[in-house]
Amino acid sequence: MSNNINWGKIYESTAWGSGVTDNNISWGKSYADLAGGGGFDADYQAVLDYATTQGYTLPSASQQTLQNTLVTDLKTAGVWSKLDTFVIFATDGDSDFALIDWKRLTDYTAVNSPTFTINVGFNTNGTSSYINANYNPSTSAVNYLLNDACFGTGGNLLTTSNLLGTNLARGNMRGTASNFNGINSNNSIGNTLPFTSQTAVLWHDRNSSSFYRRMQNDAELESVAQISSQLPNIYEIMRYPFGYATTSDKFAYFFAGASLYNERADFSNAINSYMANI
Amino acid sequence: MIVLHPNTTQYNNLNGYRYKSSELLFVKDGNDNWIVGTAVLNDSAFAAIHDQLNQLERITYVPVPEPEL
Repeated sequence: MSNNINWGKIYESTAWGSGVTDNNISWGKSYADLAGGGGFDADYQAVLDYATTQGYTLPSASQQTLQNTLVTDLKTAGVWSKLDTFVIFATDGDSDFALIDWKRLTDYTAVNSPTFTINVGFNTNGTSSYINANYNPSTSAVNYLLNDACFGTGGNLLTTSNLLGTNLARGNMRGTASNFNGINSNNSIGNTLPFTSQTAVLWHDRNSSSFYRRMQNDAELESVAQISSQLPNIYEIMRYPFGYATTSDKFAYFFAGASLYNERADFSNAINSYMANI
Repeated sequence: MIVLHPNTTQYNNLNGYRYKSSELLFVKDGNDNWIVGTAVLNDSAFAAIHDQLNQLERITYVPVPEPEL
């Protein structure tokens, strides 16, 4: 009779009823092929494991469940595999947990002390603080391509703000109409319509060489005739080359990857469901 | 708005300081001065350099002018 039952081993070997015993088993590996420890999706469990390894404070148990649901919703929608980088700033974990890139299992960098608010996210001081995604599409993109790309953010954002975009039209997004707005282009072709929601998922999406879309949740606000020409080499959130977002802008998440236009409804619903429940 | 402005020696000593997911990087204001906001003085991630940060000159922030496109 074994004193240490290896449930994980049983699942992995599928040796049900074989009578094989194993004296070196850990509960942590249970359901290894099905989900992470605790019954979570393996990719979300990896986020928790990474945070634990780094010594970060994890979200509450109830929020872990919500975040796991977010990951599974994104997978069901076919979104997860299209993302290169995905971060949820709005969490009741600590500010370090809030900076974990769930896709790459690395950290975004909080530069010059942006303010972190639990379950809200980050805001800039308006003069020098921002978040560097440490993501360079021109050298390290997996899914993000010149004519198949998107990036965006959301939270509680003033629609007149400079939201992000150090590379100008290569990866710039403002709340207002601007010649700086764009994605993957050096052409300063202005759009005409501002975002109209402070709390929607706000994003730029491109699946064509000749135009990109300004998206607000699943709605296409505007199609902008801007020719693609160059990938950005940096994504910095809350600032652009000549200034910053306002101190009132609360950034709850950021994402970038392949075009999500075809998944726009399920994608925005998944994000908004999480935000509504935290 | 008051911000912190380093001299060359202070810039060289402090710029790029990192702790966990936090980093201090001076940025340019509209007068071409390197600056950083005062929030760094209260950030526990920068506790080890708070004494040095407190020695930086306090100046008034000048926004960077935006060019016309």
